[in-house]
Amino acid sequence: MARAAVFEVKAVSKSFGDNHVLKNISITIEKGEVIGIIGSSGSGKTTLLNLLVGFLPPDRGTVNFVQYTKGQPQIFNVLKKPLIVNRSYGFAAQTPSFYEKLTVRENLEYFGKMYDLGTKALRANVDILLKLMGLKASQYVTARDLSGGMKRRLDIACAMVHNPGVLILDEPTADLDPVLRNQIWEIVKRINMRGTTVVLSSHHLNELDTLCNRIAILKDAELVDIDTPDKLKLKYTKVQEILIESYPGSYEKIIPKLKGKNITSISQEGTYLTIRTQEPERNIKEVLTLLERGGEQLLDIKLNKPNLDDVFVKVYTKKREEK
Amino acid sequence: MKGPAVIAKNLKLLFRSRETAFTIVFGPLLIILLVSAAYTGGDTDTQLHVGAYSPEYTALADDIISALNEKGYRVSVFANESMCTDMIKTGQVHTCVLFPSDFSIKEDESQVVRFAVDYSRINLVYEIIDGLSQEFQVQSTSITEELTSDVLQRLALAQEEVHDQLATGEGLETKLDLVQSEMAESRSSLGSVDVNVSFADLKDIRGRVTGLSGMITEIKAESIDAIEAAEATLRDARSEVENETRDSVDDTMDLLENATATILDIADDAPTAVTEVNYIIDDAADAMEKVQERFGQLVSASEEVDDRLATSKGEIDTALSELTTLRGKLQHVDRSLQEVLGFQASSVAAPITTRIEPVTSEDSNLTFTYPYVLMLVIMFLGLMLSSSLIVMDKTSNAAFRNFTTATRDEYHILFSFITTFFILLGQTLIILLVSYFFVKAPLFNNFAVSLVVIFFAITLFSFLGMIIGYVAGTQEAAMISSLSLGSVLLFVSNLVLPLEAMNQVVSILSSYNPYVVLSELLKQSMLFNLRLVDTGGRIGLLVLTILILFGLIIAVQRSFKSKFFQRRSKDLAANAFAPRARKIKPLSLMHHEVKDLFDLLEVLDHMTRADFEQVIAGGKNPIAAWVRLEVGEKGLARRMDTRSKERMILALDKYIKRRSKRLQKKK
Repeated sequence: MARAAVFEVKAVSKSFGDNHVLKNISITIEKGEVIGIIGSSGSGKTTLLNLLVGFLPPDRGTVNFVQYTKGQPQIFNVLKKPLIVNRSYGFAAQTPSFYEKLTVRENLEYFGKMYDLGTKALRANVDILLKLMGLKASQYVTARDLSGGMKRRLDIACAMVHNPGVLILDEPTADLDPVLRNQIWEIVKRINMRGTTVVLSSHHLNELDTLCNRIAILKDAELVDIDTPDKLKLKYTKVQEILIESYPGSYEKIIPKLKGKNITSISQEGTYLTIRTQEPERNIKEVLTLLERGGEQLLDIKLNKPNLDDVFVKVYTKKREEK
Repeated sequence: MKGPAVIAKNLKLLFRSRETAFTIVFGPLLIILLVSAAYTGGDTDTQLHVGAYSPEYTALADDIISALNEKGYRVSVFANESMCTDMIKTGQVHTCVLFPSDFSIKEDESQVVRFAVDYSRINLVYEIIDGLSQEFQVQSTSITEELTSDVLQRLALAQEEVHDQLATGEGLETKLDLVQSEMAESRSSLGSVDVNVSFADLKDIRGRVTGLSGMITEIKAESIDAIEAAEATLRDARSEVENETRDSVDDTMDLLENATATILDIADDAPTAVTEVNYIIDDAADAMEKVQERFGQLVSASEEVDDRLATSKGEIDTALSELTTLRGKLQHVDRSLQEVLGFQASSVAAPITTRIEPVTSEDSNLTFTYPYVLMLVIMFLGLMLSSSLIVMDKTSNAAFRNFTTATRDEYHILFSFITTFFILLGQTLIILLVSYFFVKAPLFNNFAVSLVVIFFAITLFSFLGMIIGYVAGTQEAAMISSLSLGSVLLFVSNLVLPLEAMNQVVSILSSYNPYVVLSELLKQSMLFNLRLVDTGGRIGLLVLTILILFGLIIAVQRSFKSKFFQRRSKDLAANAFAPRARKIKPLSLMHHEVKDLFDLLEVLDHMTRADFEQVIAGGKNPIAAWVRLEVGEKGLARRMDTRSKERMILALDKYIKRRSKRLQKKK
């Protein structure tokens, strides 16, 4: 069942001089979903996010915002009613955006007031966010004294202070260590669970895998694909990788016997036997049987399922090959 | 060698930032340029606006006004004194020349012309006073010359008259000499007449007649006495006849005998005396004849004298007439000299004197400069504080979030301004309070109007600072720009040099300098109790400027916001602003594909003359066209637009070598 749209990007193109940053992009952001936008550096991710909320005007095409009043959708161009659009989303950019010399609470209160929140509502929102973001203990700490992860969380809190329907995160985990990244993703999940639509871009594709409902892939200013992570993986990477380590590791006897059994490639890489196949379950069984027959003692076996990285690589490689 | 590397790095950093490059390199140049332009070609005289008022515009007053006009002063005539002095207070007139009533040249008193001046224009007032005093000195000297010339003229006239009358005097002298001579001659004529008649005989006759008469009288008396005595004796004898009758009669007889003797004597003498009288009468008759003769001589002399007197009378009449003329002339000379004597030495030496009258009762230089200094402080504080605040806000990480909140940009601008406004207002009030106790200036005299001016000043300079803030990229650039702008506004103002001393165009433009307008308003409010209604169009001008500046702030803020989002896009950083290599469409030249200038040189080198002529046969030079349109080297294309293959190769070779050298130098 299709969800209700929040943003409609229709045939949008954007250029800066001779440089075409986005070409004919069309995406619909659906209410309550987490949508990830991936692409190499310079592929147009940030430009797309900026166009989405009207920071930049498109050269061609339109970006519409859909507002629901008593369940009835009202569609308008994001450039026409910037104040309404601004109230509807929270944007956390790559660089945290708040006043370094104000405390955590002061920042939240200030930005809350910029959204015309009443004192009570503001206080309630700030308290909820401080708790949600794990910043309650640091609420009176000056922002510049926060750690990198806390700064990122404060930035998201600032973006969320007015309870927007859509949260846009541009590379929210850039420059963060894995632990901090996980914290952020956890928070994003929690925010989404509250019903907030999340639009994000990230380089850490595998982390988006479990988080995003849909992934949009941008390449060379074009939208290459948009779908759920699973469908993308299936679409672009049917081959899975089996890694086997055995003792004494005489794989030369096994390799010839596996050829032709719907195996894409087979090779020895160090002490491991690497098998790429579209039917991993069947091939694992066959390999294990052959190892047993060959007197090999199984030390380790891994199945590398395809991930978004693979999809990404595949997309980019495919394009290059086409070229 | 780390030092040069550091210096090179620093220079690159400075010059690759547009704002810093501009403010550091071009800022000072701009300031110098503006200031030089402002102070070059200044001519104080032509810029001064002089007001004039005279209760009666006499010929002398008109002459002086005309002379001032001719000297290049802009002179305006006012209907009354206060109108003129009010114009000084508003700065529209630099000084008022106030003529006295019945202003004319008077020999007996100096005329005092008053200059009303604004001493708060410290750097101009003395120039005005000197200039006008000099002008009046010239006028005064001219009048002195006139007066002296008049005196000399009168003296010359007197001298001429006296000289003329000397001749008259000499004539009179001659005439009088003549009269004198006539008189002498008359005297001589009369003197020659012998009027000496001897009257001795006559006297003698008279003596004798007198003697005779005396004798007769004596006889008479003696006779009478004798008779009376006889009578008395007789009467006594009657009474005393018995006693003494004999003696008395004897005595009486004696007396009568004596009387008779005497009478006889006299009678004896009388004929002799008559004879003598007859002699004497004869003598007298002789004498009378002589007298008659003499009278005849005298009549003759008298006639002569009469003639001479007639001549002398004529001469004397002429002399009298001349003397009347002489008297008239001398009276004229006397009057002229009297008039000259009536001249006052001071009124001749300085017929016009000037008196300086300040239009304000304040006399302290500090009081005069205080409004300028206060406005200077407000200007620099306003420029620096607001620009600093804007740069701080826009370069902070929070800028992005501010732009994306549901708050209009105008709100941010407005409240940034209000922040600056209240800080500046607080600072200004503190400065005023402190100054009130230390400067002892009438700062709070007209405080309501002063406060309005201060409000305008804070607003205007804050807005200017905000524009700088949005244009400048860094805090440093904003500071330098603010200081530069402040310096320019300061230099092109009345504080350093009077506007009137500047180039006329700059002077006119500078009169719109907000610092000039505001500092003048503040000064007039503090020193002259300026009312808002009297500010003329200046408040309107300020309001207009503020509105324009607000519009500019919104424009630059929007421009900055637009660029801000563009810059934030990594996509743009990666691609959009990277220069793209120009794709050159190859030139097909005699079966060769020429991709660049090196290819072209090689192909041309190997091309036969016949082939070359074939290439350029159509009238157009496709090689030059390709160099111009595809390679984009217009200069080279121009040099290669030739029908000579050798020249073309030479031009191309030269160009390539030059470019190679440049590249090597760069490396």
